[in-house]
Amino acid sequence: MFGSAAVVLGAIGRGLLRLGTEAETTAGKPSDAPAQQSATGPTAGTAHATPTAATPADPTETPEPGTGDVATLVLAAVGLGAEVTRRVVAVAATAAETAEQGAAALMQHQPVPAAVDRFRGEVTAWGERGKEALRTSESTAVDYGLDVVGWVVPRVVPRMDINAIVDQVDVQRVIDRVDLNEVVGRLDLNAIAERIDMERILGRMDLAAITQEVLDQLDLTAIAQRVLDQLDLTEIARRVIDELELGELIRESSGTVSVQAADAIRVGGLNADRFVAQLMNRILLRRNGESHPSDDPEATDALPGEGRP
Amino acid sequence: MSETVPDRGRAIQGQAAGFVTRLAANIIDMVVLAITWVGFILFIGLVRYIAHPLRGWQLPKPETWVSGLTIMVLAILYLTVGWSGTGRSIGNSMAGLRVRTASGTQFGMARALARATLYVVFPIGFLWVLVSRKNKSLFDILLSTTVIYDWGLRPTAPATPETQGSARER
Repeated sequence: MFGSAAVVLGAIGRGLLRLGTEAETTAGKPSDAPAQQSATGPTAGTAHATPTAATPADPTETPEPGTGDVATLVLAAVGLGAEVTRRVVAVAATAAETAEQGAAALMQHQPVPAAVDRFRGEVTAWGERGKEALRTSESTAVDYGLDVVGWVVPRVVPRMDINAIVDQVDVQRVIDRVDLNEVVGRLDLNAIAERIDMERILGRMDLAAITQEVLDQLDLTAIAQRVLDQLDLTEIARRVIDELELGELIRESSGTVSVQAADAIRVGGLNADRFVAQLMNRILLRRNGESHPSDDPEATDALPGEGRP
Repeated sequence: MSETVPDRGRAIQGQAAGFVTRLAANIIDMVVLAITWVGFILFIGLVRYIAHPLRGWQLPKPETWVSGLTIMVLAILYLTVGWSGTGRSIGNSMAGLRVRTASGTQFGMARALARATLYVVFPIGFLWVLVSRKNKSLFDILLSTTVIYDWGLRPTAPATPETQGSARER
């Protein structure tokens, strides 16, 4: 490194010396030539005699004195700057590498990750506290809102003429203007249902009082009468019966069951009567001719259960 | 329904019914009376609940003699109404029987009431059917009635010796 610096500095020194020499030569040429020759001696005069002798006779063709030396100086300055820059960068890189190694060593040291973990844990805990605070605030706000509703509704509803309001509402027109399909299509009912805490809402509301107020205001008898007036119950009942063919069903089912049960009882009873009659005849030592005509097998030969005792 | 009786099955129509068929009819009537009694108890409980709802739903628990007497009264009324009307109770109808006078006519309310009372108070008199040659119970003998096979809806005349003979010819 120092060698390169010495080479550069040497080059700069030589360039400066040559530049000074050339400047002096150019400045004292017309009048001081003899003095210069005497001062420099025969060697120096000899040495400079050659260039002088070689100088063309035309002054216009004389080369620009010191141009190469300036370029050399500039290049030397550039080289010096580059070398300085390289050295600075090298030093900075060395420092950065050292700092990196130090930081890595510091991070690998046990207390530091532990401190980071503790800091992370603290941050997480504070985050959870923040969320809890938000939830609490939201819950409190909802509770206060419901309290306000619960306080306002019982005081407002009694003063309202709900029947008049209902009479003024053109429900059909409202329904016609609402595109329910679009509204329903936009709703995420599952998400809404999951967010609703019905138990808490119902627990905050005095439903009994609200319901009682509404019922007191509604004329249910009039409403029911209006609905019944609009319904043709007779026609509806007739249509339902026509659709069901209820009478036919009852007639078929009950008739079949009752007839089968009655036949079973009658036929079975008749055969049992005959058996018991014959048994009693034997016990009482009666002759068959003295038995009742219903004991005659020919009288029931067409009946089910024929052949049974 | 008499039209629905098979041709040769008509041979027994109008003849005095035997012991087993009449016993079956009596059992059916007992079931009907039991259902009626339960319905009566439930009805009383319902009336009491409507009258005093704060006391809650409670079925009446009458004394045994009260229950027995009530059931007997119900049975007498039930049989009287059935026999004096169409000549048959529900049990008789199911078993294909009809109660008539010995001459084959329908009897009135008084005889029906008397027969029902005897039937309920002295039921053992029914067992006389077993030993009677004409399948008559003690009540039939006392009140001059008879119980005949009658599978149809319309009353069938009791069998006479002529009709019995024609039935045997068939």
